[in-house]
Amino acid sequence: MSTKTTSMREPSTTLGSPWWRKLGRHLVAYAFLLPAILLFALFAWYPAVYGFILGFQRVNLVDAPEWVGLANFRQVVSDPLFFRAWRNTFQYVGLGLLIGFPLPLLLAVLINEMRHFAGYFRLLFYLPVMLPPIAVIYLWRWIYDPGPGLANTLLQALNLPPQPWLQSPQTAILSIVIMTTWAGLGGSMLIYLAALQGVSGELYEAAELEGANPWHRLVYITLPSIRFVVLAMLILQFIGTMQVFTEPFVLTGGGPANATETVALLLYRYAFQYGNYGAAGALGLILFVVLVTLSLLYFRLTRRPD
Amino acid sequence: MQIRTCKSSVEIRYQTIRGLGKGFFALFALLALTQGALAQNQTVVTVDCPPPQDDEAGLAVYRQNVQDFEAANPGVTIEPHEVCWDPATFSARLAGGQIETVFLVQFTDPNGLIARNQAADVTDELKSWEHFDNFNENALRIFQDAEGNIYGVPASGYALGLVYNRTLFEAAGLDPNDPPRTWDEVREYARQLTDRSRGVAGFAQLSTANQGGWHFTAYYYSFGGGELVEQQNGEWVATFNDETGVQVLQMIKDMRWTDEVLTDGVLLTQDNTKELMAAERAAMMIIPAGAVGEMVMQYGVNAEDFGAGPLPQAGGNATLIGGSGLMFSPRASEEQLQAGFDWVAYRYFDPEVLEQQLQADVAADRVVGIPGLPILSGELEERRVALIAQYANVPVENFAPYAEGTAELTLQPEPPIETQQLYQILDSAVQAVLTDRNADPQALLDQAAQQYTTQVLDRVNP
Amino acid sequence: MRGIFSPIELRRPLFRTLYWSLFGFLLLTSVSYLFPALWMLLGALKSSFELIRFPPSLLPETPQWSNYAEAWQRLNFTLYFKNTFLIALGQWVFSIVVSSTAAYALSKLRPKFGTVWFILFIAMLMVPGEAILIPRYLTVVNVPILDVSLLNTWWAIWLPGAVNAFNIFIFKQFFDQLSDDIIDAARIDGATSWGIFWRIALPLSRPVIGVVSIFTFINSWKDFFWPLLVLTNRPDLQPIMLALYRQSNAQLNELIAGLVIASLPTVLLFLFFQRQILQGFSFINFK
Repeated sequence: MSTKTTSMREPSTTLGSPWWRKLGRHLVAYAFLLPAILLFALFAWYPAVYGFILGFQRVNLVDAPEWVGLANFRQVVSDPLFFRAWRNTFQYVGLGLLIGFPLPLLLAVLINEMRHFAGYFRLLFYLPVMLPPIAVIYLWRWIYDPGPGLANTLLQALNLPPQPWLQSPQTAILSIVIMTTWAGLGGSMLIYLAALQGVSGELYEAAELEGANPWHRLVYITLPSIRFVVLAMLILQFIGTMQVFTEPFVLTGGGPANATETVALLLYRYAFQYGNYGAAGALGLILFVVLVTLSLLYFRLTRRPD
Repeated sequence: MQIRTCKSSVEIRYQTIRGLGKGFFALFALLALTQGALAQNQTVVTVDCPPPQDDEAGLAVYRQNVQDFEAANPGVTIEPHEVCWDPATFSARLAGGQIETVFLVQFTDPNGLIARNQAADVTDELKSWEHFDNFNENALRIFQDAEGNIYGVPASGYALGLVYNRTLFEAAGLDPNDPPRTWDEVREYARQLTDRSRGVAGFAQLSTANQGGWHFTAYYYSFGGGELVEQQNGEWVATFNDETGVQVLQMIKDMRWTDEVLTDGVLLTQDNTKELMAAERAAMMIIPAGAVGEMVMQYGVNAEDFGAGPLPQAGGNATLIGGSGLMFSPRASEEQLQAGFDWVAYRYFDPEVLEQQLQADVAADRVVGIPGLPILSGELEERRVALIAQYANVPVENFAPYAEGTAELTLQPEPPIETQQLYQILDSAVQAVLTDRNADPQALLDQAAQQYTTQVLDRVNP
Repeated sequence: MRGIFSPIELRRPLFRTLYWSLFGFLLLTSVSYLFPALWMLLGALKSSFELIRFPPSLLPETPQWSNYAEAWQRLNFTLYFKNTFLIALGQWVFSIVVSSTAAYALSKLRPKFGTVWFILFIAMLMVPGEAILIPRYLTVVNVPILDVSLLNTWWAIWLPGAVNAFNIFIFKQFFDQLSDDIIDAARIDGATSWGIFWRIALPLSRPVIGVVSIFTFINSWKDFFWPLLVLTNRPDLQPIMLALYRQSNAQLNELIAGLVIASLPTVLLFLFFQRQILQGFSFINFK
C-alpha cells in the first residue's frame, strides 16, 4: 500500500540547480548538523576510540600505558565465561524479541482505540519507567520469591507446580526478561502511540468504504503506516538487549552458576571489579564489532526499495 | 593532591577560546574559573567519605575534628569530598587525577590496588608514628606487598562470626546465651530453628556479588584448609579444590538439600541476609557482629534481640578478618602524604576524637559496644576499649561469646591475589550446589581452580 | 482523530462486546502496574520492620505520617528540587535542539556524506556504556582542544547528556515520514531552511518531540550515577536522587518516603500533561 506520507523523493529544487546553490544547501545542512557533530566528537567518538585503544594496552590509569598487542584479546577469549556470556546474551535477545517486542506495540494499538480511560492507561503502563528502580525491584523480589511469593501463590491457585524463577539456571533468564518487559514497555508504547497519532483517519474511512474489516485495517493500514517506527524500535531493542546489564546485575549478579552472566556484565567486572581495563576495552571492541555487523545486516535486509 | 596554583591558566584559556571563537563555550570557562584559587604554600589534603549529610551529629564531630586538626597543623587544609569508595567511580576518578589524597577502602581492595600501582607507598610515614609497633600484624599485612612495603593504614576491623536471633532461639527452646561453636552444631541448631509454617529458615547463606566466595573462604579456614592460594617453588598454585574445599561445598549442599534449613531464595547478598534476619525470616547468618548495628539503623530492629558467637569451626580454629582502612593517592606529594597520614592517625586513633564520636553516636541512638577487631594494642588501645565500654548501649553480654571466642581463633586475612576475581569464580560454585541438587562439589572446585589458574595465576607467575 | 474502529461501528453490539473485552483486558493488566507506586506510597507509612516483613502487608498497621515529614526535613528539598529541575531542563533543551536539527539535516537536507555521519551517530548505540565511562569522564575533566574542565558544573551533565543517538534515530524516522512535497512547496515560496524546519517540520512532528522530551526529562530526573561522578565536590549543585543516594544512614521507610517525594513531580507532570505530550506540546506556538 503506498501512501503519500511515505514519499521519499529527493527535494526537487536541487535538480538542475547551479553549483553554488548546491554548495549552499550542503553548508546549511552542515550548520544543522554541527552541534551534534561537535558534541559527539567530544563525548562519544573520542571516548569510544580511547576506550577501544585500551584494549591493546596494559593500563593502570596512573602510569603511562604499555602496548601489549593482542594479549588482552587472547585473555578475554580464553575466559571460560566468554562463550557462556555470549550464549546467555543471545538468549536474552531471543526471548526479548519474542516477548518484549510485540507487547508494547499491541498495548499501543489497543490504547489508541480506547475511548475511555486512555490517559489512565498511558500513565499506568509508563509508571514503572518514572519510579525509582528500588520500588520495582522490591515488587519483583516479592513476586519471584521461591517460597510464598506472589507468582507461586498464583500458580498454586491454578493447581500448577511452583517454579524456582530466578533461583534456577533453567528459568532465570526468562524470569528476568519477563520483569524487564513489564517494567520497560512503557517507553516503546509511548513512541508507538506518538506514531499512531500520525495515521490518517481518512485512510481508515476509505478502507471502511471498500469493506475492509478492523483486522484488515490493522494489517493493511495501521501497521504499514507506522512501519518505519516499528522497524526502528526493533533494531533499537535488539541493540539495547545485546548490552543488557542492569537487570541481571541487580537481580541475580549473573547467577545462579553464571546462568544469567552477560557480555556487558563481564565487561563491567573486568573494568571495575578486577581493574583489568585492557580486557574491558578488548571485550568492548568485540561486542561493538558484533553489534555493528549484525546491525548492518539488518539495515541491508530492511532497506527501503528506492 | 591538588596544591592549587593560579598559573597563567586565564590567558591559556582565553587564547583557546578566542581560537574557537564561540561565546557559548566562554560561558562555562568563566564558571570553571570562578571556582577560585587557594593561597600557595598550603598543603591541601582531600579526603573522601565524610559522614553522610543526614548524620548531623556525626558531621558536627567531623567538622570539629577538621578544625582542631588544622589549628594544630598550620599550613594544612583538610578538604572533604562527599564521595565514598565505589569501584566504578574510583577507576574513573583515579584516571582523571581526581582521586582524594586519602581514600577509604575495604580490606578486599588493597591487594589489587597495590599490584596495579594505584596507591602510594607510605612505609616511612607509618614507621615514624609512635604507635607503629602496636599495629595488629594481621591487619597491617593487608596493606603490604611481598617486600613488606606499606601502602595504607588499617582503621577498623572485624572477624567473621555467627549472628543469630535470640528471640527465635528461645522460641525453638535453644539457649540464646550459648551459640553453636561447631559447624555440626550449627546444622543441628538450624534444623531446630527452621519452621516453614512461619516462614523461618534456620540459616541464611550468601552466594552473590562475590560474597559467596568470601564466605567459602572463611568456611575453608574454619575447616582447617589453610590458604586457598599457596606459593610452591616460587609459583602460585590454587589449592582450594582439595578435600577440605569439597567438604565445605558438600556441607553447604547438605544444608540446602538434605537438612533443608536454608532460605527459599538462595541468591543472596549481605544486604539481603541482613534484611531476612531483621524480618525474622532467617535465624542465623555468618557476618561481622557489627552488622547488628546496621540492622538497627536500617530496619529499626532491637539490638537486644540479637547475639553473636565466633565463626563456627570444624578443626581449623581460624576465622577470616576484614575491615576498612585508608590508602593514599599515587599522585600525592610527600607533604601531602605526611599531612594525610597525620590526619588519619588523629581522626581514627585519637581517644579524644573517639569520645566525641561515641557521644554523638549515643545521642543519635546508634549502636555502641559491639566488639570489633582491635587494630592496635598497648596503652592507646586500652584507653579506646575503656571508652567504648563506658558508652556501650547494647547488652554487651550478648556479644561476649563472639569477643571471647574470636580471641581464641587464628585471624586469617583474605587470599592475596585478585581476591575479587577469585571470589567471583567461587560464587558460581557455591551457587551451583545451592541451585542444583545433583551438583558435584569436586568437579565444581576443579573447574573453579582451573579457571582461576588460567585467568589469574598464569599471568602472575613467571 | 479516530482509530481503527469507526464511531458508527462502535454502536453495533458485536463491536461493542469486542471493545469492552479489550478494555477489560487492559484494565486487568494495568492494575499490576499500580503495585510499585502503591508499595512506595504505603510502604513509606509503615515501620521499617513492617516493610521487610514477609508476607508483606498491604495496608500499614499504624500509618506513620511522620516518615514523610522526617524525610522532608532531612533534606533540603527546595534546593535539590531546584537543582534537579534546572539540570533536567538544561538537558532537555540541549538534547532536543541537538537531536532534532541533526535528524532534520540527515532526513531532509541530505548533505554530502550524510549517511556516513548517520552511521557514526548510530554506531554509538553499540558501544557499551561501561566501556566508555572512564574516557568520557576524562573528557569532562579536561575537554580536549578547549582545555577547560567541566567538573563540578552542570555543563558536565548537559553537554554529554545531549549526545543521544537514540533521539536522533527516532527523530529521523519521524522526519522521514513527512512528505517532501510540503517542504518543496515552502521552499518555492521562498522559505529558508530554518524557517521550514521551525514552522513546518517541527510542528508536524510534535508527537515525537513530546515523547522524546518526556524520556529525556525523566531520565535526567532519575539519574544519579553520572552526577555523583561529575558533581562530587559541589553538594549544593547536586540533584535530588543523588542527595537521597548519599543518605546511607536513613531508615528504609524514610528513604522510601524521600523517594516518593522525589518522584512526585515527574509523575504529576506526566499525569497533567500527557495529552499535550503526546500531541507534542500543542500549546507551544512554533510560528
